[in-house]
Amino acid sequence: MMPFAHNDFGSDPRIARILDIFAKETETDRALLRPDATLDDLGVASLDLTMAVFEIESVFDIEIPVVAAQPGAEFTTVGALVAHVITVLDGKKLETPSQAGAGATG
Amino acid sequence: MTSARRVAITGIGAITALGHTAAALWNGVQSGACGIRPIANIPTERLAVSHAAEVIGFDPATHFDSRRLTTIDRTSQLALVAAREAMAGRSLAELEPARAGVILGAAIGQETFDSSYKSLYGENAKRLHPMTVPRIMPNAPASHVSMEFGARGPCFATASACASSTHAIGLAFQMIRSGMMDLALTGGSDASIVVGFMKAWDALRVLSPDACRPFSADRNGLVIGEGAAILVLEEWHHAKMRGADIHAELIGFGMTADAGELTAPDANGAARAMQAALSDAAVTADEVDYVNAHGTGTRLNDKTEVAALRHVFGPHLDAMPVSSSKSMHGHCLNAGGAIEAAITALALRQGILPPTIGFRAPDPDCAIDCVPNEARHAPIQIAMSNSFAFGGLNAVLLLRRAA
Repeated sequence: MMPFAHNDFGSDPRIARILDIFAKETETDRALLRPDATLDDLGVASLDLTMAVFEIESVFDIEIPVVAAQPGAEFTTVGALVAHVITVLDGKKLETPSQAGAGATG
Repeated sequence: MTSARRVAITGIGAITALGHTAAALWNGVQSGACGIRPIANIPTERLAVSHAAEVIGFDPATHFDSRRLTTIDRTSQLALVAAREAMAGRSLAELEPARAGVILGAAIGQETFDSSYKSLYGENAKRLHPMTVPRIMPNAPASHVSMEFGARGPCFATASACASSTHAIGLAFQMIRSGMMDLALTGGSDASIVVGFMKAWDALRVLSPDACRPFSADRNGLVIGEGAAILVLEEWHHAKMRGADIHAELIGFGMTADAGELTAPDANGAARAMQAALSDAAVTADEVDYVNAHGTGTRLNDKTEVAALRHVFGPHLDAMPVSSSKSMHGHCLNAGGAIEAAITALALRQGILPPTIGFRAPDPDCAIDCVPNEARHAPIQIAMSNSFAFGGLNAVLLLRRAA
């Protein structure tokens, strides 16, 4: 199921930020990051995806849980990854506004 | 058994407290320079010692791009810099990729280990960097060297504490001699001067507060060093055919275990390893012209090593110089044997004996010619390099001047 209508990410600035990080860490052309683009087609190595997830976690101070059934392969498309991060971000906003620990790693 | 196969050392790279190249190492050795200095790279408030033989002025960014740097600990950085020098721009393209291997001493990514757990336990970090495991793994230096040069044959790391890189070189030697491969990048790297590990060494009460004075009556312990040395070993005929510049020939390797004490050296185990190397090379004790000793500078090691040497060499020891270059480059742990093998090869080539610096007074328990304080010319033909490790693991290499 496509998490984004019209294969477009819209104008959420958080998404732009996520895509910037993803493009940088995976050394992928930012323009190719459409919701339905698969990580396989983009040639994203699993290690680079791990680095991208780590950076996104650090920048937004969130934890992106591993999907137990398929660790390391839970995101097959850019859209799925972005949707997952946004879900975590929205959940965090409801839970606690704490900024503790931000920037503690690096 | 293809006993006709011989093994040449055709490349040497090194980065140590005496400088960032093998030439700098050798210049330091022949001028009796001391790489042991006040510790500069880490905070020392919590340490009992203030001196170490650090690699100074090393800027990883001049050797690796930022993306690659996130994946390699200092341990692997040093190994790669030494390997590049040893290869001198040479490619392995002429070889079947599986005929070239990499065997290095196992070396943990201590800087990553130390900083990760400091941030986790000390600073309550929420997460560790995804590259923490690949940076720490003790085979990382060997893996990175194999990737850099496309060596696709036998590749692994040997673990025997302070003899690790001597075991690595010995195994690479045997595997080339036996026909399993034709070329090997071998040796080791170590970057253990981090607060946690230095604190652990403090606890063993074997560190000198100021200097490493092997065989001297007033010696008071060892000094930790860091660095890397990589040798290119090559099947002799192959090296000759391509007109390679041969530094020296590796002719024998012996290894034994004390199966006794955990940290105390054992003269019998050490002597048996030296005898095994002699026997492997079919060389008699009297034919050896020089020994690069393990010579850590602790009371017990040096005395025990001299007893072992006396047992193996008998009266010949009175005429044979034995020195410890650790007095200059420190005890480089997993890299020590490789750095010392490199120095031994260059000593054969140059006909110059490395000195034992910091020597002040003879010790009746160490009645040897330790080439005190100044290098000396000597047309040596056969030399031995000793490594004796915690855990009672002994490894000895025998080298011959290239001819």
